[in-house]
Formats: sequence, C-alpha cells, structure tokens
Amino acid sequence: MTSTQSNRPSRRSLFIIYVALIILLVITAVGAYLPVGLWGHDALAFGVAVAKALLIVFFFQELYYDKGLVRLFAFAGLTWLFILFLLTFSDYMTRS
Amino acid sequence: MPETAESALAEQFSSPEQQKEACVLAIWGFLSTEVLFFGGLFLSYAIYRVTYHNGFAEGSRHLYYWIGTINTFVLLTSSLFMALAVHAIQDGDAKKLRKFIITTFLLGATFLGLKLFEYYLDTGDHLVPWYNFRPGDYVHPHAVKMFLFLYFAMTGLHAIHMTVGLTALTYLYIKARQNTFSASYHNPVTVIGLYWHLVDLIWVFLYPMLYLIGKNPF
Repeated sequence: MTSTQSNRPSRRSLFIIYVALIILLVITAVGAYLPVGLWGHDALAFGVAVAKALLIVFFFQELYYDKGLVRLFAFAGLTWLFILFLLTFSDYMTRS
Repeated sequence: MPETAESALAEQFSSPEQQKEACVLAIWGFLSTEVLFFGGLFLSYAIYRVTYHNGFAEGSRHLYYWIGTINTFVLLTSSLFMALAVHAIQDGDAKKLRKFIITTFLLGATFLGLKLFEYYLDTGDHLVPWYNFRPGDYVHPHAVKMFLFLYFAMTGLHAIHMTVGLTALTYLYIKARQNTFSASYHNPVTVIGLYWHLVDLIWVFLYPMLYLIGKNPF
C-alpha cells in the first residue's frame, strides 16, 4: 500500500470512465445524424463534449482528488476564456 | 536503482510532497494558458460559425467523418493508457509503466499517422485554402474557405501538440528504462500525463466542431 491510494481513482474506475467516454463518443457520432434541429444538434454535440471533458479532467487528470488551489489553477484559463467569449459575443450579437 | 523522492528533491523544496504539489500546480498553470492559446481559435470558429452557419456545414461535409471518429476513439484509448501508466508507477510497478508508455505512444503515433493520411486525402480533394481550393465547387465558397482555414489551423496546432506529447513520452520511456521512477518519485510521469490528457481534451471539442456540424438533415 502506498499513501497515494486513498486519493486517486481505482484501476477499475479508470476502465469504467473509459467505457463511459466511448459510449459518449458513439452517442455524439450517431446523434449527429438525428433530425433534432439546429439547436438540438449543437446542444447534443456540445453537451456530450463537456461531459467527456469533465470525465477526463476529474478522473484521468485526477482533479477530483486534488486540492482547491490546483482546481483554481485548472479553471483559471476557462474563466478568462468565458470572459473572452462573453465580451466578444455581447458585441457581435448586439450589432444591428 | 530508482531515484527516491529524497534523492530527487530539489533544494528549494522542504519535502517531496511539496515538490509534487509545485509540479502539479505549475503544469495546471501551463495547461490554463494552453486553453487560452486554443481559445482564440475557438472564439474565431464560434463567431464565423454563427455568422456563416450554412457555409460551415457545407465545408464540414467535405471532411472525412470516419477518420475523425476513429481518431477520437484512438485518442481516448491513449488517454486511458496514460492514466494506467500513472496508476502503475504510483504502485511502484516500473515494468507496467514502460508497457503503458509504449502503448500510449503507439496510439498517439496512430492518431498522427491517420491525421497525415487525412491531410493527404484533403489535398487530393482540393480542400487546402492557400494551395488548391476551388471556389467554383461550393454554394458558399468564402465561408467554406474560412471553415477550411480554421480546420487546418486548429488540427495543425493540435498535431504540433501531439508531436510534443510523443517527444515527451519518448523522454519518459528512456527515463523509465533507466529505472528513474518509483512509487515515491514519479513527478515527470504525472506532469506529462496531465499534458497528454489536455491534448486529448482539446480534440474532444474539435471533433464535433469540425466533423459533425454538417450531418444533421435539418
């Protein structure tokens, strides 16, 4: 036993996460052909991508087991990216 | 002999735990800047996608959906093996570590090989905007050209990151063969693993953005 074992995903859970990722890949690859409308299609594709990303970040990258400061660093980039999108689109979407 | 955490301890750190924390924090800081690096391209894509929706869908239909899908599968699988590599060395299993590094490398190389083959096919299809693009073949030639510019820029930048990742994996393998890593010291494996997963993560978003947007029969 090493001291790291209580704060990391088990081998078994890594495989479970992998199976979940592959199922999500099938959903998004097949879902692209479904007649769910433009917004439905984008919501499905983006939703699945976010779900996959969260599984990778929290379990493959072990962020679920990391301290608050590490999580803060991990999401700092996303926060600035969000601001970049927010300000840019508040311009583009309000042009007449 | 494998290095112990104590023998690998740099002088500015008071304990191996502190050194590991600093390593993990630093790589996450770097990965955050990578998110912003790609973020500019994601933003450009989003603006033009909203503005030229039909043209982007038209451009997307000319890409090789099956190669993109297989490559997503390959990259997700490589991420599993990278995670298993980190897991193995946390248990002190250096033999499994080497095995999983090789598997991750081979899957990464498969991805790049398929990507290059796809570029070759794209070139044959006259899809390269600055080289042999044929505006007359499309209903929305300007938007398709913009889409293809972004396709090559985003997948090209991603491929550069994959190449860096493969180089880093080669370094890890050489170090692993020299028995550098152990249960108490394996910070480079952790750090390169985190980088590898991020490259996978970016592809997870590129795949639907580039390959799937033209499939919906609306």
